[in-house]
Amino acid sequence: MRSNRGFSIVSLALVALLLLNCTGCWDRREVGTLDVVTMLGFDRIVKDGKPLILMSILTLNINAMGGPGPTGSGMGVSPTSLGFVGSQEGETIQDALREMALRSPRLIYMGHVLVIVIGEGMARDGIQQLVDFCDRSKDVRYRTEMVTCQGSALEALESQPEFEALSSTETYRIIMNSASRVSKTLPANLFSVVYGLMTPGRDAAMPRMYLFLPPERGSFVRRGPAGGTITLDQQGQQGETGAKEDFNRVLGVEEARHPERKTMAMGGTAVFQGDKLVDWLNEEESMGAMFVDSQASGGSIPFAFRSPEKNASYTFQSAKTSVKPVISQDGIAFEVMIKGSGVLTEDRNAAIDLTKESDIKAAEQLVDEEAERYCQEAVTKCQSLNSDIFGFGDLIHKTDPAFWKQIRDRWRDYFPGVKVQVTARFTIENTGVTGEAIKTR
Amino acid sequence: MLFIFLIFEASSAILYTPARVAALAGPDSWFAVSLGDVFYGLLVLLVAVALGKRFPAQVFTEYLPEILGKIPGKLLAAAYALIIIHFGSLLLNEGSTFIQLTLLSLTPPVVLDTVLAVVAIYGAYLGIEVIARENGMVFPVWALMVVLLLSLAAIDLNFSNLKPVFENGLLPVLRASSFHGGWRGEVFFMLMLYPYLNQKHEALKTGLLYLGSVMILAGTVHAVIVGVFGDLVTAHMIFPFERLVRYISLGNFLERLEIVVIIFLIAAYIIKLAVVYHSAGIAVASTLGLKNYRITLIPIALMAIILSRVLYGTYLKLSNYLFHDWPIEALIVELAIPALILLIAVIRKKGGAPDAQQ
Repeated sequence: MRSNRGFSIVSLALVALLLLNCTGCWDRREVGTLDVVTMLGFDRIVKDGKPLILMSILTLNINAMGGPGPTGSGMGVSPTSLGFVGSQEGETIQDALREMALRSPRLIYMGHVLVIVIGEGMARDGIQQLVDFCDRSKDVRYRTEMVTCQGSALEALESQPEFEALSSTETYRIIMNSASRVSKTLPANLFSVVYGLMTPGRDAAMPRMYLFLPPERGSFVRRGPAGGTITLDQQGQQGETGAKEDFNRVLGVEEARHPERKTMAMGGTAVFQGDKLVDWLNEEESMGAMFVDSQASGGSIPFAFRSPEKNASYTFQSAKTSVKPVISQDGIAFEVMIKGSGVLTEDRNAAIDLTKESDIKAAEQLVDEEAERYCQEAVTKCQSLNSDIFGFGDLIHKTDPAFWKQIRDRWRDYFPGVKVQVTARFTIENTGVTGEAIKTR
Repeated sequence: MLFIFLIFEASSAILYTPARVAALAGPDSWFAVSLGDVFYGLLVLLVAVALGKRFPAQVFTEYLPEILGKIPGKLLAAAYALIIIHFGSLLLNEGSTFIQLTLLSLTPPVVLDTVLAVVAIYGAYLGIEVIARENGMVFPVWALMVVLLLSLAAIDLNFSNLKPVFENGLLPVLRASSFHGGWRGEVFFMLMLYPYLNQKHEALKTGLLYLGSVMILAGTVHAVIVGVFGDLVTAHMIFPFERLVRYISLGNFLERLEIVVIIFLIAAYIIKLAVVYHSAGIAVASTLGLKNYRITLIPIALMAIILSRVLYGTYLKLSNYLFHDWPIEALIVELAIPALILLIAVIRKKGGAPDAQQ
């Protein structure tokens, strides 16, 4: 009997506890009270002589939801912008984040951040603070992509996506696909940046983002978002200066000041030394860096076949790199071996006789030379910047720990002097669905 | 029985130790936690089983007075009771800290403590068999989950992160082993559970099987964590295993699996807590000469909750204790004292001779 009574008391207590749980927990954060941020931007600004951090968020435009969406509107028609950009300055990042609460009644929720954009000024000043902030947050994920914007991060967030509803999605997907399609911007997620910052023999690198005015005159991006303050329609209807003049004015002088009339793209790589941005790699160098780091898995290499200009292109569909450090009396050297395969996709004026084995071999040779040149350029550039984004030091650490111990603290003195020997071996697997190229007669 | 101990390892050791082990042993963590401290676990196990065989019907705190004489025996038994209660509060704190840091950051930790403690105490109240059966339900799913998550995480495994092997010689690895030994030595709860085994002659075999499987489990977990993140990044995290599971991404759709880990780690924690409270209850009851251990459970739970808040109110206090004091305490409590007791028992010829039992 006694134990029965005890049992009922305990079960009653448990049931009561369960009931308490039904009302939700202390931690309850309902979707309706959240600001789901998909893109974060960080800039450094100076206001009244005081250095501040400008934090920008891209979230959903609540007022546009349920209204006419971009679906079906097609390009060239101005869609209702789904995104909303807010920015707030603060003395520290958390300060800025909490200051945002004075402006927004909703809680900033960072569990869905896809991309973190770092403004150029912030990047040159040092990114440790913001990387640590994101690393420390229990919401931001290690798979969040990092980019450095040539310009300010706020403008990057304000720029218009062309192909997706939100610029975060657009940026994220561009980065996700780039390694398998173009390989001209070295992708980096939060984890790889943390790894680059923490590891003595490796420096961080991330994609370079830039903003530009779409060259197409009919682009809806040039006209600015619907509901924006100066849309062409409104200006035209006012008829003060005439639609045509206004059109020129808006697209000519004013354009620089209107990030919402620009769109963003990736290209090239931001190279860091320690936590500071030192310089950018161009697109060819970026491809070289991706080859050396074994990150490139698809892209095209144009080359010149018995011609002064590039007249053929090779599309690689896989590439794998092995790097071997060689430590000798003469110093430190690395042997980089790239193996890849792909397709010959262009042959102008049938310069290459695709039916001849010797021509194919010669073409492969030329492709190899191009790839080797990209790599050498990337390595030379990074050596001149003294930034080991390839993780050569880390590699020595892993293969020759005793030697690494001697040079670890002076790796920056050694790195610019290391010799890097790049060998590429690309094979042409096929030539598309035709054999010989069209010969115009 | 085996599964109970496996769950022991599963909860706190997987959660809190990898970062620290990685800091000490670097890329060799997997070695430190598998081959390195299996010897320590073996010693603890041998001592515990030898003592158990001498007193097959009694728990550790019951036969202490027989071996040492009434007063010193009772004193030591009381000390053990306190140590186990303290251990319980430590576990409680580990559990609630984990939930608070990764999931419910605004919930008062004392509430999390209470919820965990109430469930565990209920289990302890129902007795060891119920705990074992609950474990029987949780364990298979849990094991499946660990295997699945580890294989998913292993997609991002980079074997070069496990190099260089023994960069600084064996010494740092052994230091990490000895640090981790405190967790491995939790097999000393065998002392408190021995009378409840239904096949006592298999105690040693079970224990060995436990050590073997835990060797593989811990080794794999550490290898995958360090293999994915590298030792430097792992060392700066608090819950590398949770981070690892968060990092899983299969084809961009199988993501955000950390909640699975959280749920199962909580389940594991509850079982572990129940066992510890059960042992604590028995230790207290036998020390005080009470017939029924159940009456002690509620005071123990209250004490554990209060101790958990007072002693380890902040993460720093918890980590300081876990990473600096606990390994030393564990060495004394798990190995040194029981070994000494065994020695005294052998010398004073107390308890049934091991041979007579078989």
